[in-house]
Amino acid sequence: MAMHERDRALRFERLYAHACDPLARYLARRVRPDVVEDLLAEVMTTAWRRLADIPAGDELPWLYGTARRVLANHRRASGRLGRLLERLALIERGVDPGRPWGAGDDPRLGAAMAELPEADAEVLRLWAWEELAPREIGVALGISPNAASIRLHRAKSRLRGRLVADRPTSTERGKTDLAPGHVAGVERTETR
Amino acid sequence: MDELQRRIRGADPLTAAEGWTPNAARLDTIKEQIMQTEVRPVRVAFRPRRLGLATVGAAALATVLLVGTLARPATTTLAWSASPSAVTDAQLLAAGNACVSGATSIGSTGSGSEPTRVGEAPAKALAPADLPPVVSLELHGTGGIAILADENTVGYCLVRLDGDRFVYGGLAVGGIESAPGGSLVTGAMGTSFDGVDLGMIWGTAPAGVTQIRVDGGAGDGGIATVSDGRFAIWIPGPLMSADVALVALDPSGAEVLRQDLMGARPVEGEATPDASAGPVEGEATPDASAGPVEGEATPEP
Repeated sequence: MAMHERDRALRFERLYAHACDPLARYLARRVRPDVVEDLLAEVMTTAWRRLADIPAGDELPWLYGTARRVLANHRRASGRLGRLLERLALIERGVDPGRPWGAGDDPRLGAAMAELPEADAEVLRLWAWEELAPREIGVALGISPNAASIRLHRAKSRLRGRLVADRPTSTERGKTDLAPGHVAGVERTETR
Repeated sequence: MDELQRRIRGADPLTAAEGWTPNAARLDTIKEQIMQTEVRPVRVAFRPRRLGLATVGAAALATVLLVGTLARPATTTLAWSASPSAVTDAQLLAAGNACVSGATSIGSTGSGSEPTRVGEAPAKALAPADLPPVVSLELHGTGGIAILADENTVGYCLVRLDGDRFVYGGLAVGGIESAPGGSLVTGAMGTSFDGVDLGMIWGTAPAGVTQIRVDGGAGDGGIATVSDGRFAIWIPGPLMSADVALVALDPSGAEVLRQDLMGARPVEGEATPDASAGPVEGEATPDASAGPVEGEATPEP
């Protein structure tokens, strides 16, 4: 059923007010700041056009899913210069472009994340950075809640496995805070 | 909070560095601009027509066919050229956005609830927002096929150039296919766009092949560019696949192999495509019992 124009405008106004900030943060985590606004406008334009398709109650995960596509197209279309600018922006922010997960004071996490398949890494990002529940991750990725739960569980297991495989020597052990019991099916070694 | 979650959150780049700073006035301006954007009605109008032998399914791309098209009247018509046109980055982006915005629903032949895995058709309907990113655009005349692909899924999206933008025409989506034994893996579909009959041909090519030439039919002489191992081309007129062969060319233009479109059978002693990989007809039913899916593109090393 076609949405009345006024209802449609009202819904979009509410959506825009509610989603702009988290959506911009989503984008700002993944691209350089000067393109965030353009990509945000692209995502919200899609939302405006497809307002009737946005599931009530899951607006933000739906928008994250759209942003993921817009972002992928942007990366593909931005060409070499764009990718170079992205790398420079990362360097300016003190991030190793080869290991964008190395941000912060946790290089082991950065190294472990960099080894994960991108699909796993994105699930973990949505979970930890965007604070999505598995059901919402499913909406963002277009998969069932059950599949999202399984994918998240496996991604966490793989990350834990890599963190344990990269575990510091006994003299460094105090720096890692993952309990060995978190690891499933991974041979735990005390040294590399 | 989960300890791992806390640790990942600690690596959030927004907490460690300056990011995007919101500007309320600018956001209001963007909103006003968006809300002045014309919202075109969308309806499901594009359906791939079953053409019997003329509709050829991919060997491994058990294709899920969707689609929706914009009800907007055409301001330009489909015109075909045998040679591909150069595509700008802006056109690539515009075509990709047209596909994401235009696809209203993507049907599935499966009844499962799991996502796509390499080599399988999607067992569930894909959300348009979950379409893979656009990786290339093959433009012949005013019509083109944008290839959307990630590690799990590949889609071939029909578009028409209209000024500096693209109008969405339809989409075929399936699991990632691979070319066994150095042969081509091909799929094709007869359809219509803006009332014009046409054929979509797509596939993967083995290493060393840079172009695919269409031999026979209304698209005789058409050249498709191979990009990252994939190619796609639309040809004018009703698709009569029995009349069409595909010729793989190397960078020097030399013929590497020739393959009938119908059934993707090699005709010059090349390796036989994996016959078990999939039925024809473009609407193959994926094997729901194929095992756990989980969308795993990259096997655990």
